[in-house]
Amino acid sequence: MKKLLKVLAVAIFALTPFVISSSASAQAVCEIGYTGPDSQNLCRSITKYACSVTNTNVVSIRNDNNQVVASGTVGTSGNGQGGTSTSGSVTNTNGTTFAVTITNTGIDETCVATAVVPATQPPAPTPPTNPNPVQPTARGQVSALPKTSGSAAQSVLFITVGSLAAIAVLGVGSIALYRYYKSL
Amino acid sequence: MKKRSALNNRLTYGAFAAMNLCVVGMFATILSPIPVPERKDSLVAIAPKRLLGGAEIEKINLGIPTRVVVPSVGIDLPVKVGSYNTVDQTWTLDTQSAFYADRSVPVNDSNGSTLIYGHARGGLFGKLPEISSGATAQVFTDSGKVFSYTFTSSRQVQPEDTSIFVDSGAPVLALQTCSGPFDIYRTLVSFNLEKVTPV
Repeated sequence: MKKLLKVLAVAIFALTPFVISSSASAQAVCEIGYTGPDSQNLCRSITKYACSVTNTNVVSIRNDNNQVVASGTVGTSGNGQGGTSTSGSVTNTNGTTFAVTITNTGIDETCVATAVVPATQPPAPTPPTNPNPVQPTARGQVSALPKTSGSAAQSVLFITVGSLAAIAVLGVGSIALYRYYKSL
Repeated sequence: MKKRSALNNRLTYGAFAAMNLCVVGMFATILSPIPVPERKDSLVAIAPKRLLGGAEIEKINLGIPTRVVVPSVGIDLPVKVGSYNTVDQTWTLDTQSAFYADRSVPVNDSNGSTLIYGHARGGLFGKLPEISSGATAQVFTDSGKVFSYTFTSSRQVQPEDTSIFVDSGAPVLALQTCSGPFDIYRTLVSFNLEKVTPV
């Protein structure tokens, strides 16, 4: 029975609720390039997953120990004296059987590993090229913008009158200045 | 008498010198280039309908301008086709209408800059440099469409600056007239396309 208890103890220890802890981690950078027609992109993501699950285990051991002893046959014959006594054979059968059943009664946890892959910004789509953009009506190199002057005659008249007026004012001013200094 | 004559000479020389200085200074001031900063509209221009970004390329609306209207500065003019003479390097021009520069793209909702120009006079494009934020423009075409634009910017450039002639990029309308002293500059007023509607 002692042996049996030892076995039980070892079994219970061995099946004590266990914890495996680690983390789910994933790191990958997936570079996507041109995604237009005839593009070729290979995205390889290598991710290591590990789960952490806590279980509560109940160990139930049943032991049946049966011993069967059968006595031998003892016989005497023809003697005043004590005859020979021969013990019979004794058979002892000892059988021990135990079954272990582990029932997972913990929360039925689902191992979820989330791979964190940094998203890369997809390249800006290249707008399709207009096969027929609008073209100028006429072609050729242009060396100057249109000369959209106001009125040339008006400008000349304005400049002429302005210049004459300026000259007259200056002349009068000069004479006045001269007379002033002369009078001193 | 001799003294008076000498005095008169000095007076004459002084007056002439002053006049010359004045005239030279005046011309130097007028002819010196005046840097004009580009004026930007503070409003966010409405982005034109993007035709080329989708999976399918839509049909392009385009046409030769026949009329241009800019209500805020009182412009409502017929538009003729203006050509460039490579020999004397001049453009078709008259005093009755505006002109579509045929070296630029026709008005369209796809790409490029369309140039319409006119004289800087009253009744033509004389008030064009006075355009301000929020201004709109409409261009009628021979294809029976009205292209509506919103003002984006105004800038003064040298006559040799032909960078407005581009076939690529978003569709833009540019109105041009002369400006500055002696009309030595060109004012380019740009508009972004807003919508295209039937007449």
